[in-house]
Amino acid sequence: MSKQGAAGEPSPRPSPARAEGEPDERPAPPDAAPAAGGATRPQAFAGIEAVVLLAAVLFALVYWLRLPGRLPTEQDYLAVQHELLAKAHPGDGIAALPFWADRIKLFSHGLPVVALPQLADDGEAERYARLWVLAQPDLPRSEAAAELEALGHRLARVEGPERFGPLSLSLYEPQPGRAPAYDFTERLADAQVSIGGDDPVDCEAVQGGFQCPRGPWNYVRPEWHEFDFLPRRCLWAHPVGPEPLRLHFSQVPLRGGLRGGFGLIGEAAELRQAAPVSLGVFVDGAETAELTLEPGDPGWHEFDLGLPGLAAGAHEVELDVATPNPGMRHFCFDAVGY
Amino acid sequence: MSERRKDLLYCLGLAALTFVAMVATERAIGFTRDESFYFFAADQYTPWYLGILDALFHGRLLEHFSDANLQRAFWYNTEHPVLMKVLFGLSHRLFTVGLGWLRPAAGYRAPAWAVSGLVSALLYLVGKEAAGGRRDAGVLAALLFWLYPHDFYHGHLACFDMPITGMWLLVVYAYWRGFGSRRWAIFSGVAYGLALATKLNAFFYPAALLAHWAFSIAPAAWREGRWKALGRTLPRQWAYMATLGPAIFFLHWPYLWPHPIERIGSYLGFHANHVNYPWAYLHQLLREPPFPLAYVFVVTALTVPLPIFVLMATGTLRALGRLFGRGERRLDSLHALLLFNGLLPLLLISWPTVPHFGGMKHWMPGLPYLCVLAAEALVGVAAFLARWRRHPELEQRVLTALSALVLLPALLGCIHIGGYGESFYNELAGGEAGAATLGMQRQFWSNNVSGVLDWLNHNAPPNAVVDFHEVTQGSYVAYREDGMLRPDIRFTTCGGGDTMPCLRSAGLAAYQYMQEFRDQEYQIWNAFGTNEPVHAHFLDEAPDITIYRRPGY
Repeated sequence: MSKQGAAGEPSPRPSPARAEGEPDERPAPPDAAPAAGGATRPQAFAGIEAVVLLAAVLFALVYWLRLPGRLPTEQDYLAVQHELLAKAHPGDGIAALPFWADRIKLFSHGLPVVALPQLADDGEAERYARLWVLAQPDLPRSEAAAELEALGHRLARVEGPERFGPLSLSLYEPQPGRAPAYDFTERLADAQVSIGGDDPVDCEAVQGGFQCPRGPWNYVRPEWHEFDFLPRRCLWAHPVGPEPLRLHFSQVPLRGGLRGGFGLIGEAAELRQAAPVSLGVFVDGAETAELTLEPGDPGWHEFDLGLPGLAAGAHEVELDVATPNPGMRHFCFDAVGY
Repeated sequence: MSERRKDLLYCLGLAALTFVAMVATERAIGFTRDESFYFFAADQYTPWYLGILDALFHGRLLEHFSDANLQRAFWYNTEHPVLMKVLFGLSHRLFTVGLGWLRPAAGYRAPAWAVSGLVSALLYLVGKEAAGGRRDAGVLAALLFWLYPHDFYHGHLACFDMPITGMWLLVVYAYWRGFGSRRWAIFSGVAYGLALATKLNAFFYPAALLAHWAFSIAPAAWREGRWKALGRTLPRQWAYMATLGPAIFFLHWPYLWPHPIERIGSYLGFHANHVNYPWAYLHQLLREPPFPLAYVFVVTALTVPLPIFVLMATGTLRALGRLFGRGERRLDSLHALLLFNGLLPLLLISWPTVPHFGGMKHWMPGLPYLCVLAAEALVGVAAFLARWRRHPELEQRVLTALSALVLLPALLGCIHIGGYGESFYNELAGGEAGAATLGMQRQFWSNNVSGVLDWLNHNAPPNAVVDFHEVTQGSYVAYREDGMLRPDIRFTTCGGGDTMPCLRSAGLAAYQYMQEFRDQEYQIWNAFGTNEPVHAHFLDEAPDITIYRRPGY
C-alpha cells in the first residue's frame, strides 16, 4: 500500500472539478476532506478506538484459533456411538445439549433422541428409564453446562461424564419413584378406543392406531406435532363433542401417578372463540382429574398427577377427551404412567 | 505514470481480482430461490431483445413492439425491473450457449460478478478520496467490504442486491464528482437510471443526497442569501437524476410502454403490499409489524466480522460526532455524503413496518460507505499507534500489520463458511452455533441444499423422488443442468401448509432448517414413519439440511 500523505495533515488534494480540468460553474461544496486519521479527531477517542479494535482483533483471532477444538469430528461421534452400542439398553433415550445440536441422531442407532430446550424443566427428561446426555459445553455460546447442572437436580447421574473430544457423555436415571412404568402413547395398540355417551361406538384398530366413525379426522394415532416450534410425540385425539373419545388401557402398572402433556395443533390453538377441550383421567373407574385446555391457549401444557394412595400393581386407566363443540379442536396429548 | 493512470490501474486491478474471486468460488454456492426465478425470467426476456433486428429486417417491427408481444415476452416477474435479468440472459447466451466458456448458472451470474468488480473499483475511488488521496485507504475499503462473508456471498448471485449496491455507489460517486464536472453531473442521471432499472431501493436512496445537501450546502447558502441563495445551490445532478433517471427506467423496460401508469403502479404496488415472510430473531419469529427497531443493527453487529464491525462503528461514530461539530470539527461534505448514504439503508429497513426478511441484503447498499469510514478509521488507528509509540515514521508498517490483523479473522470466516455465506455469523455471535443458541435465522434462500447434493447423487436410488422442501423447481432444473444433481432424481416439493400429500410420493426429503418450517420436519417424520435422518449437513454443529429416507426406499 502506498502512502500519499501523512495522517493528520490536511489534504492537498484538488477538488474533483480541478482534477477533471473542467471549469466549474457552480460552487463546490465544502469538501475539504481531512486526511485519514483526521487532525480534528480527539486523541481520547483515538485511544479508545485503538484499544477496542485491538481487543476485537484479539477476541476474533482467539475465536478462530479455538473453534476447531470446540467442534466434534466424525471420529468423536463414532466413539460415542461405539460407547452407546456397548452400554445402552432398550428403552434408553439420548438427549442433546444444547438442544439444537442434534447431530447425534445420525449415530443413535434407533435410540430416541430428545432435543428440547430447558430439558430439566421438561417432562421428557423423565420419559426414559435411562437417559444418555450428550452435551457440548465447549460450543460457542453453549448453555450445555448450565443445563447439565439443572438436569442434575431433576435426574440422578449414574455414569460419566466421559469425554469424546468436545463431546461429553453422561448417563442419568429418574429419581426414585419417578421412573416411567407405562408409556400410553407408545402402547396405544394395547388400548380399546371408543366414542362414549348414550350410544357408544368402538373405533376400529387400524395400522398404527384406531379409526373412529365420525370422519377421516376422527382417529387416534401417535404422531409428531409442533408446539412452540418443538417436536412432541402425542396421540392425535380430536374430540367429537360432549360425548368422550375414550381410550381404555388395562393392566397399567401405575405406582406413583401419571404425567404428560397436551395441546392444540397449529392455528386451531389460537382460536379464542372455539370451545375448551377436557382430558378426563380415570383410574380404576374413579375420576382422578379433569384437565381443561381453554381456547386461545397455544403451546404444550404439561401435567403431573400424583396418585399417593394408589396401591402398587396393575390398574385400569381411562383417558376421555371431550369438548362442548368439536370445531377445529385439533387436540393431541401424551401420557406416561410412573 | 500519472496519478490518473495509476488510479485506473488500481481500479482495473481490483475489479479484475474481484471478478476472478467470484469465478473461482461461485461453484460452491447453490442456487437461491430468487435466482431460479431470474434465470427463467432472463430466458423469457432475452429473445425479445435479440429479435429486434430480425423484426426490423422482416418488417415486423410494429408487431414486435405491440402490447401483446411485449406481454408475451415480459409477463414473468413484473415485480422487478429488467436490466439485470436481461444482462443475465445475454451473458448466458454469449458465455454459455455461444462460447461455452461458463457453465449454465455461471453464464447467468457473470454480470453480477462484473458489478461486483465495479463495486471494488468504486470503493477504491471513494475510499481514496475520503482519505485525502491515500490509495491504501481505497484498497482497504474494498477489502473490508468483500471480506464480510455476506457481501462476498451476495456478490456471486444472479440477483439484484449486489447490483443495486454497485449501481447506487455509482450514483453517489458520480453525484460527488458532479459538483465539479458537468459530465459527471450528467452521468449521475444516467447512473440513477441504471439504479432505478436495477431495483426498487433506488427510489428511496436520493433521500441521502437530499440530507447531504441540507447538511453540507444549504446552511451556508441560507445564511448568505436565504431562499434565493438556497436555490442557486441546488445540485445540478438532481436535474439530471430527475430527468434521465426516470427516462432510462422507462425506456429499459418495454413492458411498461403500452400502459405506463398501470404497470408502474402495479410494480410499485407489489412492493407496497409485500408479504412479511417470517423471520427468526432472538427467539422470536417476526411475522407482522411492528418489527424491533434494533433488528438491523443487531444483525449487523452479529454478522460483520468483529474487527470490521468495530471499525465501521467507530468510523461512523466519529462521523456522527463531527456532524454536530463546528468549524474545523464540522463534518466535511464528502464524509457527510458517506455517512448519510451509509446509514439511510439501515434506517429504512429499521422502520418497524418495513418487512424484515432477507437478512442484511436489504441494507447492504449502505455498507460500502460504512466500509470507507471503517478504512479511514483503520488508517487513523495505525497513525495513532505509530505516534503513541513515538515512531510516526513507522505508520505505514503499523498500518500494514494492523490491516493484516483486522482482515485475517474475516478471511478465516470467509473460508470457514465457504459457499454458505448467507448463514455466516461472526465471532461476537459465536458463529452458526452461537446463532442457533441465540435463536437467529440461519438460512432462508434454500441454496444451502448444495451441501447434500453429493450425498443424494451417491445414495438416492434410481429415479428417486425427493422432496426438496424450499428448493424451487427452477433451482432443481439448474442443479441438473449444471451437473450438480443426478438427472434421474425427480423433484417434488410441497411448500407450506399440509405437506402430507406430497410426502406420500417422496422417498427422500431434504429438509431445510428454518424456524417457520419446524412443523414440516415433523410431517416428514409422520409421513416416513421415522425421525432418524440418514444424512445431514451441519454448520458448526447447527443443523442446516437434514435428509430423511422412507424406510425400505
